[in-house]
Amino acid sequence: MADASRDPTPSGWSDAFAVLPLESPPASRWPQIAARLDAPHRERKHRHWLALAAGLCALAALPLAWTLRDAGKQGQNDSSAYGDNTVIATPRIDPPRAARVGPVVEAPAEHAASPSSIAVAQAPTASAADVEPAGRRDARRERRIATTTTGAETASASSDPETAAVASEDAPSPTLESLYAASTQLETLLALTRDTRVESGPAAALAGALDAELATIDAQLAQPGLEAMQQRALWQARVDTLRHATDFETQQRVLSAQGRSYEGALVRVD
Amino acid sequence: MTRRPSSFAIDVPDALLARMRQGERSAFEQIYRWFERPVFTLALRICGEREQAADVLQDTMLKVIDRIGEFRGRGGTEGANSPFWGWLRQIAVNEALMALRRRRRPGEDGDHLDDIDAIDERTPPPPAAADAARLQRALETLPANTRTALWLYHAEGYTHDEIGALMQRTASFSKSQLARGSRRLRELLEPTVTAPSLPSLREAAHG
Repeated sequence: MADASRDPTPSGWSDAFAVLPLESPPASRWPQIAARLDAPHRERKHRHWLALAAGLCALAALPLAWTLRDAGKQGQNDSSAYGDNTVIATPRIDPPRAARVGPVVEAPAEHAASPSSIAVAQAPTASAADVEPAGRRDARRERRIATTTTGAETASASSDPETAAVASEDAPSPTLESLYAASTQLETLLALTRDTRVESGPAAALAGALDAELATIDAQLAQPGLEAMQQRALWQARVDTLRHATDFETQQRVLSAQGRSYEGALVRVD
Repeated sequence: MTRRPSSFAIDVPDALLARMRQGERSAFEQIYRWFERPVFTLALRICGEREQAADVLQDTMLKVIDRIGEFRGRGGTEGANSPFWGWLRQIAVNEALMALRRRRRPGEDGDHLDDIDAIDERTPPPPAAADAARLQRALETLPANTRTALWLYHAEGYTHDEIGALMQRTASFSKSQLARGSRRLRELLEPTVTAPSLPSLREAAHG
């Protein structure tokens, strides 16, 4: 306690604050920092090569995707070649998103202008179903997936007033407070679900990419002078990324409990 | 008004910085030891919770480790345009404010602006402010935004413009929080005396 008789009145708040003793943390955080200092070197190097390998795989698959896309366009002209419900598999450029939702399918070109034409493959392949079990999706994603499974369904969905009503439910933007709360909850959940001891190589690369995405958003949020709209958009992006990361980690745990891994789902294009 | 130097103002030898840039573990540990308490204290003043402040300390140090290659300044305080401690402090402030934003609950914002009265800012604190324990307890009762603005302005020497930008608000917001915080602290430190009238505050300010 300060000796009030020696220094009765501080000349300003600055002086008063300056004599407050420095606080010490309840426990030193150096052990945790040191652990990360050792691990990240190996991990980062490891993840770097894996990310590079994943990128090369994606690049190698692009010509195939373009060929299939061209074939799809031709098939659109020649309806005997492809039916209305034909979906063409294309790898997405963004590796984290591609992997977190499994193989991505694109609807026939007539629906390409619609944002809903990029849909998550659900029923057609067992792998996709494995990657995204229904029980692990939230209601909104489930609705979105249900309305965008195939081109034909997309077409019917766009004209279906009930579906339109569902889409309009997504329209109101959440408040910043609800985004803060969701972010906190998801971050806690992510910390609970993440287990780097059972991570496979590609999964570690993907988790690293999601972390990097999150770090980018955090860095943008830390910029001064952000408008309210920008803040909301960034916090929404943060919540979305955390949700994807949580989904991904949960899937990993489920697959690992079943003795399987994510790797097949990551590279499969069907 | 002369301000005391920040508790962060520690000269870091360039040789130590060079070792950090090479990823030397002992250099990072040295930096951690030097800055552990300033970072934790700053985080505690902003967040108000010890456990969260410890998390901020950890995140800050991890960011320093990750980004040391990006730091282009010098280690010392003399003649350096961007001393290392200023860079580290900026990371700590950003991390603490980020933690505060994550935790913030509806109604905690304190966004409404008070009438700004510069008198509150200039009036010397009451004698009871010399009692560190009382001052600390009084600080703890303030809303987070108010406490943050007070601490960044008085203890760390940030300007209102800088505080407004850091808190994603305006300079007026910072001034308002400072006026409110100073007034509230005065009330808390002199609980038996009713809030002084404006003329008496003016008298005190001008001696």
